[in-house]
Amino acid sequence: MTLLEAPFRSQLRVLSLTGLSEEARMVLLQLGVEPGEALEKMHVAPLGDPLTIRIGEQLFTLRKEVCGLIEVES
Amino acid sequence: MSQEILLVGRPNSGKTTLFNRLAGTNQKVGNYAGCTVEKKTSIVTSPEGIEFELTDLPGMYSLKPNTMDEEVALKHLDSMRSTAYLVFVVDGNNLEQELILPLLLHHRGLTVAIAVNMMDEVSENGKSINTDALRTRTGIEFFPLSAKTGDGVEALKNHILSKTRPKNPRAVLAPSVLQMPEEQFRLAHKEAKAESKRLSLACVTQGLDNRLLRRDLRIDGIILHRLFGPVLFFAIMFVVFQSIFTWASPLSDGILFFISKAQEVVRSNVGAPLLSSLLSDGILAGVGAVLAFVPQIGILFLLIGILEYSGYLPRVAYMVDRVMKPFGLDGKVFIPLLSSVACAVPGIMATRTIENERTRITTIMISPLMTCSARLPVYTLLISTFVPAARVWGLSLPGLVMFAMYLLGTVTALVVALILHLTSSNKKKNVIDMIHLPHYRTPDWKLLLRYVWGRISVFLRKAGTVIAGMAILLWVLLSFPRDEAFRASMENNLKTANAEQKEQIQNQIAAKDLENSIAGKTGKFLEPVFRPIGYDWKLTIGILSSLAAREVFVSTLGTVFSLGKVEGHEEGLSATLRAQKTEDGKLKYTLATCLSLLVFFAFSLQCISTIGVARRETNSWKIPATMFVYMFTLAYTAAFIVYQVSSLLLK
Ligand SMILES: Nc1nc2c(ncn2[C@@H]2O[C@H](COP(=O)(O)OP(=O)(O)O)[C@@H](O)[C@H]2O)c(=O)[nH]1
Repeated sequence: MTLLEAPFRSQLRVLSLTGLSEEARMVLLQLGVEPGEALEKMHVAPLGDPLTIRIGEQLFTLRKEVCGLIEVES
Repeated sequence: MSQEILLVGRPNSGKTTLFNRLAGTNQKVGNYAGCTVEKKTSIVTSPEGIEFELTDLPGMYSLKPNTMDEEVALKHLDSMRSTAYLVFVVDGNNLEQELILPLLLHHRGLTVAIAVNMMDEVSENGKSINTDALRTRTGIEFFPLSAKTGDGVEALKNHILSKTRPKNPRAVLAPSVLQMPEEQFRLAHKEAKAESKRLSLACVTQGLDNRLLRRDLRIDGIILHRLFGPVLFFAIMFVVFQSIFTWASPLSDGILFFISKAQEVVRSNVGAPLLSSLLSDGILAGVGAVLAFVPQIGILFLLIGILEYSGYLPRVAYMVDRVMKPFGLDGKVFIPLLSSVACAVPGIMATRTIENERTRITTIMISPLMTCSARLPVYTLLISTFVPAARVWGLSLPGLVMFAMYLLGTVTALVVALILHLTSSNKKKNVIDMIHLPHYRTPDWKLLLRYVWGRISVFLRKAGTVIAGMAILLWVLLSFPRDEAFRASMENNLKTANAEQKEQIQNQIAAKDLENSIAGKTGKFLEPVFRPIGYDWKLTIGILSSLAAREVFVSTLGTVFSLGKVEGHEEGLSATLRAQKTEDGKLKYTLATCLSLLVFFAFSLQCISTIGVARRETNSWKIPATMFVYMFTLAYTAAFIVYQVSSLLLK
């Protein structure tokens, strides 16, 4: 499933980032989002976009279209 | 040559706070060459008298930039790689992630030290970090500290200012970090990441409960709540808006009151009329024009500072991101645009909180389209003079027109943003739009006041001089040359006149002075240009003088029509405007003229203060010149269409 479909508030593991551009993958890599790493979906903004993601001990927001391209598993 | 020390770190790692601690008040704010990214430097001197240049680099996450500002930071870092000493500021709460970049650069041969910041929060969070072990394992100097409380900062300072501090022997030959091939970067990153993981397993004792993160999540649960979140958001935005719209004006009035007292003193004490006029109407008025902005800027940045330091500002950006997204903007442009509804000057200054240069410039370009408070006296005069006080669907027509003007400004601003978005190259856009949501924190008053004062002083020194200069120049154009013969004959009449006649004569002198001035003559000269949009030379002079500030349009019309000061009793001016006839006896100014003026003022950049502040924030005349030209073209075209069409329809 994608990060967009994944349930809130549960530990997820990144499977792949295919579909994202090379540059986007690099940026995410540096935030700690890469295959094998853990993350958690926390909130959604009042208007439904973007989403808050916990990576390690930090919170970041990512827009829906990016979340839709991140494959994760529980 | 002084040695360079670069402060490097992620956004929100506390770099700026640490920079302020190290640099004290000895700071210089400039720009990186050829762009709008702010460069903060300071010369720090060691006890032995050696000078070091300390630079606060823009925040960055790693070597593959996501925003334009990160790219600028990286380029600067790369150009300094073999000589500079890099002090990485990392958030101790997030050590494992944040060590990766400094380790990677250390491996590449750059000279690195690491300031582990936020130690106060780390211990509050029940964690501990063994920096001695980190030092022995890596050979890198580690400094545990808290930039907020100041603990540990002295040790870092002594170290970076010492002659004996070690240098990475490979530094001279360090290869560029920017042009690292993709594969090599991945490998290097992987290696650094593995080491960082090992290090934090060995040297960081995890707290049991992650108190800070859990507290953030609890607060987010309320503040970002589906219903309560937006309510709180509107309440806070209302306060921000009110504060610059209404609370600042008594303070500005106070400043202008002092200026007017000073003008009186000059007028009654300086004998030579020309000199006295130059001092009071030229220079003092110019200085007043600048100082009047200070309360707005101070209050706005106090509020922005509180919102930013408390952690709410990025969350505002998060909540409104969806609204801005269709126009190619992001949530961070909201506060600058909202501020611009009061005044574009603080609004443009607030664009500093936007980290992407392209978005920042777009926001600067569209800010003056938002309906600022200086347009209100103009709109009020025009609407009350020419729009019938009828009711439409139970609503007052003048009120509707006023509302439409607000809407027109906002919609146009967003459309222009969209056009700029569609025409700009992908290279300048963020790779990924993301916002870091930092911990909630109680703002530190000292930091806050320093932040506010920093903004005010930059405004006064960098923008203020330009604005005052332009104001004085404009005054000269509006006042000279004078028809001295006419003045002399009128002053003769003054001697025998009674009080009422006196006032009339003085108003006539003022009108004649304006008409004879360079600006007045230019107005007459330009009349053919403005005739297609419905203005005669008198209105054209009004347009020219309103460059000083839009509301000056009203007082200039008062002068042109020999009415003297009209502020506070505009009915006289309204009646005069309505009564003007053309040579063939028709009404000169009609509803069509009014509509044309309304759209002209909605779109045109009639404000030297905005021009001055845009020049300061973008560090060149290019952007303000572009803004002036595109807004004038838009204003003229729209006014032309509106005037021609409504003249036809209203016949
Ligand atoms: N608790 C704590 N907060 C800090 C410390 N250093 C900085 N901060 C806060 O962290 C936030 C970000 O700091 P700032 O210097 O603006 O970060 P920058 O984005 O890296 O320049 C501000 O709210 C600071 O008050 C610290 O040592 N301890």
